[in-house]
Amino acid sequence: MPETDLRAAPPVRSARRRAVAGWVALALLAAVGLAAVGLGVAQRTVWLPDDEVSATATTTTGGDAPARLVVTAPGVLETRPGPVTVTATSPDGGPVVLVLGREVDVQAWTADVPTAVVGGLTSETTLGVDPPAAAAAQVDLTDVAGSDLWTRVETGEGTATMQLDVPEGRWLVLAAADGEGAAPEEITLTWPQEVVTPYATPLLVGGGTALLLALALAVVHARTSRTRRHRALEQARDEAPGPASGPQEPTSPDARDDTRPTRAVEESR
Amino acid sequence: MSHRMFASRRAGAAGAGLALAVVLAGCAEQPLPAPAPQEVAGAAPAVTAERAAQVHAAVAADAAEADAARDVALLEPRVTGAAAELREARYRLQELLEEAPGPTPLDGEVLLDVVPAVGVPGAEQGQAPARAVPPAEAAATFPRTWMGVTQVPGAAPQLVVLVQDDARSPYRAVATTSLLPGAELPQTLAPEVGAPLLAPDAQGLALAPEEALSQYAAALEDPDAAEAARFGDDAFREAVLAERAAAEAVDFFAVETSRGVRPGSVTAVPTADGGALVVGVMDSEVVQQVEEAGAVLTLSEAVAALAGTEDAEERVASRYLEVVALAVPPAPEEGAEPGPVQVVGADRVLVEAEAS
Repeated sequence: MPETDLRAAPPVRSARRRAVAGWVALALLAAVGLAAVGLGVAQRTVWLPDDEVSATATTTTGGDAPARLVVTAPGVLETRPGPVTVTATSPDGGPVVLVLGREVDVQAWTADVPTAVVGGLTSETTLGVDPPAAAAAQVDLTDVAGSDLWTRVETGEGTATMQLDVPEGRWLVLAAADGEGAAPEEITLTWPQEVVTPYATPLLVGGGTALLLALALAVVHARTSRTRRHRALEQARDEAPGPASGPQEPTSPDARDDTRPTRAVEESR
Repeated sequence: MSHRMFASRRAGAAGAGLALAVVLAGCAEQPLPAPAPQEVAGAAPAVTAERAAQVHAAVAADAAEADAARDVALLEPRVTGAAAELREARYRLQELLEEAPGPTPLDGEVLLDVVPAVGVPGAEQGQAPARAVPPAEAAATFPRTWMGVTQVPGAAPQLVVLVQDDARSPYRAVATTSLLPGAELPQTLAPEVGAPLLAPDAQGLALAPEEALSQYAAALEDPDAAEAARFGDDAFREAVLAERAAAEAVDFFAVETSRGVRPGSVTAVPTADGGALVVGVMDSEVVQQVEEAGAVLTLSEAVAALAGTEDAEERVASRYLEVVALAVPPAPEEGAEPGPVQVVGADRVLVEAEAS
């Protein structure tokens, strides 16, 4: 191998290595940008938190006697801020009554009746239930909805729903079937939830910027690496004239060796 | 070029870190919100304003239905006690005498609700205990009582005493009475302010509620009795005394009257002046006994209808049911004279008569 070949070879090889590393870095930047945009979009769409949050109490578990009534414990309606929607469901499709009453009134009404008490959250979606004690006496409850104590009454077949802004003071919701039969099996409380996506905007902006940057850099990189390659080739040709570049310069069949370097040189000027 | 490359690489790393932080933040455990019981009001009105209107309407509807049919059974869901007895006596007279007046309707405009407060057990004002009032203690806040005044145009305003025996019973009218012309009801306390129902023997009044009624009963018997001085003039006493004077003017027949406050019938709600509005039921009897054989007493239309005879030769006994409402002032300052008890409402109906 002539000396000139040894001198000509390194610039070409290091330029190519640098070019490849550049492309990899750009691809990485683009990928990260794309991922950030994707995350941002997902946060606003598929990962968007529900604007409601619900928790359900199941009243059929445990207890000395089957619950005939279900009441919410004080403050359970106010577990989360905002208006609460109470839904009581009887799987057998029977009558369901939901009433709103003052604490002292509701409690007096439930005296001596096996009553399940819905307590606080035990998880994001479940409410605790205090099962009823055994009945102290046989109590006839005929007209649940007709009491003079209630300020709101909602009835339905299979399910009943009451949306309420909990009034000032101590108010409880009581759920029953007809008073005599088993209480509704499920009580669901639903509150509104403020939806915040604090990362979505930074992700979209940051990701978008990264993508644009990657694109811009890719254009620049493409030009500079080609120029550099040709300059290196030209240097090599100057020092060792002859068609030395053939194998190192894969070109299209119609490209001519004498024209391309010249154009590259002109470009670099 | 190369340091620019490093810069963008660093930016990429930062972006990846940010994405990771987002994912981690989404998974982070947040403490579950606990129930937030509101503070307890020390007292609750016996009935909410909203419910009071509905109770008035329900009572009036049942009364109207029963009045139309002259059927006491129809009163049962919402009207009981002396309120039902008054109506029953009027239905009876209506059946016998075409021109006998029917009971005054209970619907119309609600002029006033006098609602005492009910103490919430175990609750001190401003506290927020997590546990609810135990059902047994809550049930002990019954029976609950309040009064309302309604008026249909052209009729005397009706003062109605409403009682809810227990939590699972409806509010029912237990007594009604007509407000007397010109009667002024004392200012009543807002139920939220919280003055509980008064006991029949409550202190702090010019006269204890039950005592005020029995003294008024005595004043109706004898206009010169010492008790009569405690009461302001009223149209009802005037009418009762006039009727008695007329009976006494009848030749050959001696008149004897008796009157008693029905035990357990006294209801007293506190008023803003520290006094009380008291409603009670009295049973009275007028007996006319012949003094000279051969004398004949022509009976009044109503008594004749109930007794089943036009005139009596020996004895006539008529029984009346009376419901009166008194405004009792508060106990006077040390050494001062107590203010007069004012009769604000009265209703009276002939219940029974026998003649021989």
